[in-house]
Amino acid sequence: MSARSFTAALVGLLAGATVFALLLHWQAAGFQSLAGLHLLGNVLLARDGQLSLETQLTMFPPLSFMIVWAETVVFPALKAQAVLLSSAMLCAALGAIIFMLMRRAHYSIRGSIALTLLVMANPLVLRAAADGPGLVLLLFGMLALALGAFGLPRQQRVNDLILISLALILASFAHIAGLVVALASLPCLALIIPKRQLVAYPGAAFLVLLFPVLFTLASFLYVNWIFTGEALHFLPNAMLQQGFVEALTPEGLLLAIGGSLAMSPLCFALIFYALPGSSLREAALALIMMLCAAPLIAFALRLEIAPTSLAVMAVPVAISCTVFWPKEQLNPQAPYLLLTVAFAAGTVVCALDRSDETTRWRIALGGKAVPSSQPEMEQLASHLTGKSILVDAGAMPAIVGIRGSAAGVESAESRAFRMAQINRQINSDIVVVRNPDSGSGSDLIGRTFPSLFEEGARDYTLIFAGTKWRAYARRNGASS
Amino acid sequence: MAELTAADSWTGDFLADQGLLTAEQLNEAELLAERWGTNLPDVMLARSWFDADTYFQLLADRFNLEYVRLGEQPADPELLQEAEVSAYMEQLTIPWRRVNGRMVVATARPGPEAIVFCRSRWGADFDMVITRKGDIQAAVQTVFSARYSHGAVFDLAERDPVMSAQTVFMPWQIVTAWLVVTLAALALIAAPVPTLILLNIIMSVFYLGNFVFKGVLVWAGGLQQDNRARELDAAARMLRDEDLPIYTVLVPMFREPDVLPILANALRSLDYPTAKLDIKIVLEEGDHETIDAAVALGLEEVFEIIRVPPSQPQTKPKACNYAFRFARGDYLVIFDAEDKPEPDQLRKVVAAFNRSAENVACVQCRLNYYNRDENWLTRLFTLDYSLWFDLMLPGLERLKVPIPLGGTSNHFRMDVLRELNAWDPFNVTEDADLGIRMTQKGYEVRLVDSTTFEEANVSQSNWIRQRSRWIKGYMQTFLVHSRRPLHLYRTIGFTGVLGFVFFIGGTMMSGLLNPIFWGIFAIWFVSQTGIFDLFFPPILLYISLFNLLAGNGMFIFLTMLAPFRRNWLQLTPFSLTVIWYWMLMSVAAWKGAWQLVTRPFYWEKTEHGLSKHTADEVAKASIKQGAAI
Repeated sequence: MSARSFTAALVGLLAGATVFALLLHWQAAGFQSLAGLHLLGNVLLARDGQLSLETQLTMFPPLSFMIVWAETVVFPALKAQAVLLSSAMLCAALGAIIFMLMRRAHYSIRGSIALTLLVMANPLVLRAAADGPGLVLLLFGMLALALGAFGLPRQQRVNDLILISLALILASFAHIAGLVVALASLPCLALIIPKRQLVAYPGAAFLVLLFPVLFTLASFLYVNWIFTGEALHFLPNAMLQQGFVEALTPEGLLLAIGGSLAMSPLCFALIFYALPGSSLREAALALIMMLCAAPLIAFALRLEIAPTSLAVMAVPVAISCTVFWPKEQLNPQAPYLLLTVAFAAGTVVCALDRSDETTRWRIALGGKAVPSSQPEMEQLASHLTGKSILVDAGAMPAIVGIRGSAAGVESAESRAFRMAQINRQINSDIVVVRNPDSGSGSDLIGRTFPSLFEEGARDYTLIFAGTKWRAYARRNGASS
Repeated sequence: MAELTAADSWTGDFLADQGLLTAEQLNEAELLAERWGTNLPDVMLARSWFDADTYFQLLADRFNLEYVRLGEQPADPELLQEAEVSAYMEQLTIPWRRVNGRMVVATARPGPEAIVFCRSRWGADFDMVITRKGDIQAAVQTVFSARYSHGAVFDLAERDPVMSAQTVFMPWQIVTAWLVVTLAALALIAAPVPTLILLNIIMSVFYLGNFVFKGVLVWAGGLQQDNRARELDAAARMLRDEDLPIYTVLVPMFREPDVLPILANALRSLDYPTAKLDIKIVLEEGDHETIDAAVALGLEEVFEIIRVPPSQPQTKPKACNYAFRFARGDYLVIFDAEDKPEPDQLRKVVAAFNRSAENVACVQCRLNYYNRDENWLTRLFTLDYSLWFDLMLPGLERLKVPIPLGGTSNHFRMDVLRELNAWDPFNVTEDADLGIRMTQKGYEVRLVDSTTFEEANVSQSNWIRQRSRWIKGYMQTFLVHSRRPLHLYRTIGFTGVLGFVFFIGGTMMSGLLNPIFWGIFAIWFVSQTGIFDLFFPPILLYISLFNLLAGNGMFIFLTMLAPFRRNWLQLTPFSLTVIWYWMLMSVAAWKGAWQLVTRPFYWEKTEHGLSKHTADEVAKASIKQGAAI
């Protein structure tokens, strides 16, 4: 290992450890993102054999699920902390990569450490880490995209083509916001593709860049079709994740766009001060356009994405601007100053974001106890203590995440549920059912036993009654 | 610039006086000789301004020496020594006869250097006669033909048998293969499902490694290519003509009379002092058609024709092994008959050698096609070659993995080529084999960003013939170099072995295995049968599915990337049809495997000149040829 790699590993380790400590601290204060709980629930169910192979393979977005799943295979003792550790490990890798990139861009060791610190300590990055590994993965994707965008017109290497193509895959399969980024990037790629190729063979140039992501999407649909008979099988599960935050409001849209612009002083500096005709200008312009187009698309599609999740994409763009900063032409000290400005802008964006998740995260950041966002679900979870709990966990994996374990859970994909379907009789210690009049309608258990929510079952007594959920427990002495 | 010697000045004036040269020609020849750092007669002969017979006769008159034609008055074979042949060819001087106890030497280059050479060999007591350059080569060939013919076939096999493909399978390889097959058969009988699963796992893991490795290669190959190319361009431009060494160009041909004008024209276009070129057109003695065509073309003195005596195996490496013994150059390159190297290629290679470490023994240039847009096959072949030469080989170079040399445009240091006993005549991809052998012997191969354009196969059957030979050769190469696994590991290291297994082994194995997996997939897709579920437990199913989707997707993507460097993006959409090309490759792989067993040394001849583009090139070249003579 070279001295540079060793230092990078050290920097990454420090960054990861710090982020992990912060995440644990926020968890202790009561903050854990719903996205993280949902992911954790799915992984715990999968590890406990409560999610069918089909469901696991068609999970969307798959990358964060795969990472946390693999982590629990390596460290089986990890339960509730698995998601936090994944985020922290990805942050560690991000820190190490940023440091390496800065060193390769000929910043001094101290300078590189300072720049890495400015990036990693940006509140938007910490907010992304708190959201879960999906958003941190998206930062990787965006970083690759931005590096490729600067590199392709300048160096015209296949490596930059590969970077952009892989970035689009990574983004699309890491987080729902990544799909938006991929869509937003389409028109902007025209500014990145080398002119001679764009003019002569525009179709072919776009084909090279987009083929991998299109092929991967097609493969994903194919996998869905193979395992479930439906190419769009993943959609209902993916839609479950909508509802973690509110749909982007006009204010949220303005905050996301304004925040992205405020976070990008380095980009603007390149647009206005790089040499006329320089490829840096066009790449910076393309990236700014992409950052602005993404919130617009999310708003138009009424997607439920927090403004901070969109604004954080300006961070990898800022990193790339720093890497490609023309030191011989512009002030070499400017990146330090402009990244500090971006840091301040990130702080302001986080302060102005009124979404529930960010508000709760801010409270945790202040060291105060965070009120629960899902009090009913938390109360329900505290009642699920039996040896066999029949619950359509696939419809609410977060409850398993809140429990921190899938022990005793019999999901709608379990043998117990299939037997209950066949025999029209429940044999579990506890059964949980969703209110058919709730916004989401009945769950699988409710559809199998339509009167269960209102009337309960023979030999079962109501132990929890919420507006959305009810739980019944078998009376003592009742035969199974 | 080197000044002309007094002898050269006198010769020039004398030839002009005799009316053999115009004043303008004399001026031009003097300028060129000074610029190239060579002698005046070489320039004038290279330019074909007068007949060689006339010149040598005049030369003899000028020095008051006898002019002899060695064909009519042959040299005494007892006087010629095999160990001295390279010196004879460099000096163009040989011992001719003993007359009255006094040594008489024949030279095509009389002058102080020849005298120094003769004194060093035969003392001060000798006489000299003048003869033609071609006669010297013919005399050496006549005397040593039998020995060279034997050496061309057996030198490597006799001196370094473990590196020769003469023995296709070593006994232990056969025993091991037999053991593996027997064990597999027994296991299939005893536990059919677990055995099939195990075999399936091995193949799937191999696939996975293969495509991951090739992805890494393309990534590594893309890094820093352009910087190096720019530096080399500058270094090549700074080379002075007088600093350039003699360069031997070998052009082995067999039954290709039509493309001779292209070759002659392409070689004339090289930006290299003609007098410093030692071009040898290597023809089989029985190939009268091409020999007659070559003679009828009336090529300049710089082109020599070497006739290779008939012997088995009749392969290109054997012909090259025979011909390279007559080489005069410090470096040697092989071009195919229809090749069109970029004019500055030799200069770039000299610059690359000058800038490289001592152990760099070979420089491989890129190959690509001039008729790429002719039909679907030429487009796919171009994508294939672009991926191979522009992306993968630079990756091998960067990762320090042995490079299997391409068919032509590989430039060698002559001393190393002699030391390694040159090419293996029993291996039908002798260049790939030599690349691996060189690395095992401690030498390195470099890549240079200069392209030789060739004719892409336009016919699928012809393509399959060519590709089956290549894959058979890769199999031979794999068998030869895996004979001593520990030695291989010690000489090329872990990355080298990994690269060797995946690049040489992977290329042939994927061609062989693909139809099996395609077949399984097609049957399943059409019938939705559950018969294969037994052999695909979940984890293996995921790997296979991942290989099917990610592997195919990635290879299509890599094929799309291939033309990017050359801005041939019109070819990119054709990457989507590469699956049919892979199917052809599988046909070729199975044909190659069959031939490895039945006719291991048979050289599947690729027919050249089928392209319309080549016909146009021939027409153009013939016009230029007319102008040149």
